[in-house]
Amino acid sequence: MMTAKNTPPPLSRVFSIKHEPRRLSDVAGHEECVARLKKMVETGNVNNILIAGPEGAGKMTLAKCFAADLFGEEYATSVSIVHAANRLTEEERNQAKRESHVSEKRIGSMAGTDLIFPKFIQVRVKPVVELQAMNSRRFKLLIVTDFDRLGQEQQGFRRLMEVYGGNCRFILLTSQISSVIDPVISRCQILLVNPVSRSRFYKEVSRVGSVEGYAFNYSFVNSLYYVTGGNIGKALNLMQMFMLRGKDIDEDNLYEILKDADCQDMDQFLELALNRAVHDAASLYFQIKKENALSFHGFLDGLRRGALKAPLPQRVKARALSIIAEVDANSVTMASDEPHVLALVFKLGAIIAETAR
Amino acid sequence: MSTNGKHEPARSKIGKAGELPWVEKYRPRNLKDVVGVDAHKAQLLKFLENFPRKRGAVLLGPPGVGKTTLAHAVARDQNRDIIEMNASDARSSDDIKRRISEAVRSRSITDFLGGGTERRGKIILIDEVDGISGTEDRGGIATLVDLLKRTEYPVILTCNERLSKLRAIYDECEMIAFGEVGKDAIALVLKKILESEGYADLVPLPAVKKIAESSGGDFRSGINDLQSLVRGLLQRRKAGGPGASEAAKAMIGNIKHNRDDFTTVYKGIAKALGSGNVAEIKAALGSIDMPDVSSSYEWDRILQFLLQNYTKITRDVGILEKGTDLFVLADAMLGYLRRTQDWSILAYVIDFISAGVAGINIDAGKKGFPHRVENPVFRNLREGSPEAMIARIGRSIDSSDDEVKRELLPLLKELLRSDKEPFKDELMDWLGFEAEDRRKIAAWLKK
Repeated sequence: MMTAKNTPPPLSRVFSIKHEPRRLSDVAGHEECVARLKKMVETGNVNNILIAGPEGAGKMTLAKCFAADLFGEEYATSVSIVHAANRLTEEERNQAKRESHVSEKRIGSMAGTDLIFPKFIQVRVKPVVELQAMNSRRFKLLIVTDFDRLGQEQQGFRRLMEVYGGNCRFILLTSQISSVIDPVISRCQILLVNPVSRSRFYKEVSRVGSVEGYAFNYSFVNSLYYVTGGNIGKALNLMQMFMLRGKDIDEDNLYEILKDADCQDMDQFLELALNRAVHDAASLYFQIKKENALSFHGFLDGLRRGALKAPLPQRVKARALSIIAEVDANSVTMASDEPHVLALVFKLGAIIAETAR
Repeated sequence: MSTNGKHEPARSKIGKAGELPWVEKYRPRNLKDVVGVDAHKAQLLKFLENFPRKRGAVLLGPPGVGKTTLAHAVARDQNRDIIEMNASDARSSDDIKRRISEAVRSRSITDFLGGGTERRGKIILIDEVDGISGTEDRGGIATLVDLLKRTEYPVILTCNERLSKLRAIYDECEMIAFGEVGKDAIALVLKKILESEGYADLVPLPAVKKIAESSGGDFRSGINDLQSLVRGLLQRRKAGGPGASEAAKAMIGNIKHNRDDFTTVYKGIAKALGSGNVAEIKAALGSIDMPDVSSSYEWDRILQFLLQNYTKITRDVGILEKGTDLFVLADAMLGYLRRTQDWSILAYVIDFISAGVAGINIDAGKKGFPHRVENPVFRNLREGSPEAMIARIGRSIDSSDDEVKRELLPLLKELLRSDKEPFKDELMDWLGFEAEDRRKIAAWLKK
């Protein structure tokens, strides 16, 4: 249990945590990536790695297992994990301000330009990479999740990768490689992680099921695969929710539970948007996003599922689905979600008038 | 954030309509106009005279002291062409080879054509050589060293700081180290600029001195500050405020203060929302000085602030709809800019945003008043709150808060609500949550 050293006892009751792979040889699927990582462990020749793949495909699992295999007993002193999506706390921001070398003397447009590194890097990254590696590999490992969320700070990060490259290797995880700047991509070995295959998923989920005393049929796991996008952890969480509720394992119940798990407000958003209640729909979106930490794509995915099930005329439904897909496609390289939400609402709002014609 | 100046296009406030930045306008064209760096001037001239004893010179010094300016002025004075490339544009050795050889080869053509017979040759200027990367692209440095060994033309390189990775380059070159420019030299330049702009009476001498002092030996910063001060004072004068000298004092004292203040964003957005004129909106947005330093991200934020307010201008959906496509375009370009670092795109972004806002304002036929938007940059975790619980859990299982919310929270809630499991008490014990905290969590679960 070296990778989850701090897991509190109550949480080890959660299936997805309890059954999380600890070593590369435990990882389900991802054969090619595992082989490449194992090779690196063997040779000790570790480059900076960018692991790209959709949410829940298993990027973090791969990174952690790799780190565990690579450092063994020295894991705790050698590996650090930072989350770019976790905003700095007020305390951390103040710390960054104190430590950064902003010239107090300067006024006007050039002031602040000698802030050496952006705040996030200053507080979360620099202290880690600066510290000399004290292990047999002679380098440490820094894993950064949601790397794309660093936004413009990626430039500063790139410089840091160069300055401290000897002391520290980097594994960067992202589900949006289009938002990672080219200079960073060119400095990393890239590992593309696809969701596990359906048969691997089935094998893994039913393996855990049999350990926990639960049996599934293939068609159910099939829909589980469909709704989780091959995310084994999420599937195990859903499975546990079934167990807690004592519900029959069938597809109707799956969608019901999933709706609770995802977000019930999604249907309301669709209704507001279709009725051109722009203001209400927009503010509902921000509320949904905040409470459920959904990515824009995750939100659209939930909306899509909602639209499929919604009691709407077929023409409206078809148009709504194509609009959701279109907005999703447009947002691939987005900088922020807000214009896209508005565009979505306006486009959905035009459907009723269109189809009435 | 960078010392090599590559990010400056982002920092410079774009859209001061029609006004040339004084830094460009008053960049010295001739050697005699370059001030404050006499010793370096002599050193550089000597290097050129002795060429090819050494084939390259490195101008080493902090930003804004006039390194590039000096190189250009020398070239102009000696009637030489300057072949300029920015090292941070060309990271790999192939890029450097291609650019230099293209440029050098073109010499023979002009000479044969007899076009530039009066010219005495060329100078190769490689700006911001510290932007060249050390580890991966060693090839880039090797190519430069090779160039320095064989070049027929003097090479001038500029560089902000002495870096060990560039030692091979330094070995081939004459080193000319610049310090910060003396404040008197800067004050002199500022005064001259004021005179030629006709604002000598507007800014009192002590204010000029103060700006020179606070520039930290950086011409560029000093001149930029002067220009913004003058702009501010002119506005003040137009509005008929207090006397100019009083205002100048107040403004110099204030600029420092305002930098951490959020009202500048608020005011900029307010101005933009109150106008139906694209250029005016562009200028208003361009003048926003965000408290966070990093560049294109500022524009994400400005776009966000605008959109959060913009749905509040009018309830008329038809009017709002028109601007949306422009905002989507602006956002797409910001995303592209971020990835490729192609700053030339930024101008379009600002145009699209400004046009979108103008259209709405005109159609709505009234002024919008922005709501104050809270600063969304940091989070405040109150002890014992659900957020604190999520953060603690995330930390213990190496997940981000968002991931916990997205993947684990539904199940966690279910587990916390369940009577069948002793989960809740165990978790609360582990978190060290007191009775009061537990009540908060219970209330949150009921929602």
